[in-house]
Amino acid sequence: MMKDSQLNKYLLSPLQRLGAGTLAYLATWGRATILVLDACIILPRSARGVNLFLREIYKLGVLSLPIIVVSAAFVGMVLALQGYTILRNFSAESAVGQLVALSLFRELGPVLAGLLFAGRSGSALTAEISLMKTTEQISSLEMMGVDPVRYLVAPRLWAGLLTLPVLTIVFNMTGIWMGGVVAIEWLGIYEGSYWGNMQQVVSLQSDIINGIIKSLVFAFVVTWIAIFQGYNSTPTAEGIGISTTKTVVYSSLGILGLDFLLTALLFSNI
Amino acid sequence: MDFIRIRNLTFKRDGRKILDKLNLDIPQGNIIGIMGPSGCGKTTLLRIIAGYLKPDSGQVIVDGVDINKLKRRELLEFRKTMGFLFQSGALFTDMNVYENIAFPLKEHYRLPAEVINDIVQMKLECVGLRGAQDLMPSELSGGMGRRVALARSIAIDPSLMMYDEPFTGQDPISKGVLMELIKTVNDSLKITSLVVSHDIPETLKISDYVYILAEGKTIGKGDPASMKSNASPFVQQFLRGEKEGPVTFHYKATPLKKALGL
Ligand SMILES: Nc1ncnc2c1ncn2[C@@H]1O[C@H](COP(=O)(O)OP(=O)(O)OP(=O)(O)O)[C@@H](O)[C@H]1O
Ligand SMILES: [Mg+2]
Repeated sequence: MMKDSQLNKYLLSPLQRLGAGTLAYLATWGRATILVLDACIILPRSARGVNLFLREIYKLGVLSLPIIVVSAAFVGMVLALQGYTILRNFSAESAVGQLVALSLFRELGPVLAGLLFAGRSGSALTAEISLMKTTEQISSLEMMGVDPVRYLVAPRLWAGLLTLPVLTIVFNMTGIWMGGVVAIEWLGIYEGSYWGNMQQVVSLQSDIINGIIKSLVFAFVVTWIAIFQGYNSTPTAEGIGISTTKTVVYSSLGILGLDFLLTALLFSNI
Repeated sequence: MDFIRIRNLTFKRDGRKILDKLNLDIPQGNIIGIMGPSGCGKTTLLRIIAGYLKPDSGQVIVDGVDINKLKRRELLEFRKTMGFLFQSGALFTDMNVYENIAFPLKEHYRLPAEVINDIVQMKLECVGLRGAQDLMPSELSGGMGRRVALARSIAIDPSLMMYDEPFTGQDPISKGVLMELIKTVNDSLKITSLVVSHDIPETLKISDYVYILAEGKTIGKGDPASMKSNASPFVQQFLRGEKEGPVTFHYKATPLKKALGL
């Protein structure tokens, strides 16, 4: 028996650690799934519920508008400038409008808005929830008989799901508009060809809707990660920092990885 | 029939036994003092009674209900009959004092705003903080925060109140007021109260019965008068606050000599 335990210590421990690690990993996925499933089925019903939901929309969405609008403006302007310099080589500079629009609708809008949302709102969500956990506010809710999933998690999940697609639309519109300002006012593209080319080429289904589908997926992933990291954080000051970092890292990687997958599914006709 | 009945309660954390085959009987309508050295598992015990932590073995019966057999929904429902004062206060930091106290009322009952206002004003008056109702928790001192938390935990008139260190951080006057308050709440609402505390004279004064815990077990119990004459060396050490005795002040560790390499 003693010898066995010695043996275990030296031979089995890497294997055990692998096993324990895998189990812990699976358990984390399980907890995260249960949390999001529990929250999904709770829609805001009462006046109080709607109030909570609207407050989250304000915190996640309205407060992110400045960074979304400013970033989109610069992205649109850079796209117009770069597109113009390349397209001019082929005397196709009048196509700059469709280049700006397609890049934004298909890729840059959903992805950049998603990354900004993860950095601005996702991290704030995680910090807020893990701080509430650290200061025992979540325990306090439970002890009062208030379900934290209904009170805290569900309104945030639904608000996140709704907010990012709307922010993405704002991002696209701002980008296209500021791209137009650069192309028309500065580079001297004829206004009719900037907008006209764009209208001819961009299709509602395959460009605009697919882009919004992407942003819906990103919204779900970022909000899910942010809420779970907050809820699952270690209740210490250090734990708040760690979980906030994890939210930004995981959701950024999640967005970029899923973007490739979604592009393959939605846009390529292979 | 006892209001709370705990049998063979064992609770472990990381393989270390915090509570070890603990038995407690708490009759209805009394104030029960629970004392014991820091880290002996008093907060843990309260959390187990509230069903917030699951014991490794043993039974916890509150008001005839086996807490650990309740489903999550039922447990949340059951907790509406419990008031819990957190050691840290645990006020909601995004709400002011008034909203904090109104919160459980608004969550659980559909009451007209005037009724809620009346209740909140009364509870604030009890803890002497009616003037502070518009302050945010960050603007309160530690002791004031604790009193707000107390007002919040009695807002829905529970049938079991659990106080985790209600006297810590209070000046002598507030202490007196709080003792009075715990007694009034208990007697006027005919509820059962558990008071966890280090403040021996205060706890002995208001309790009908006290338990002293150490190392996961009850090392002494009885009514306050009998405690002072309790023969157990454990109890005497604790009541007199002596460092040397059967209860060790130190968290389990290797001998100091060894740690210093002597
Ligand atoms: N989250 C946790 N993880 C691991 N161990 C814990 C945790 N919380 C408490 N403990 C351990 O459980 C033991 C009992 O803790 P508890 O908080 O119940 O003590 P207490 O009697 O309330 O002490 P105090 O009088 O200082 O509040 C302590 O020894 C502590 O180390
Ligand atoms: Mg404690």
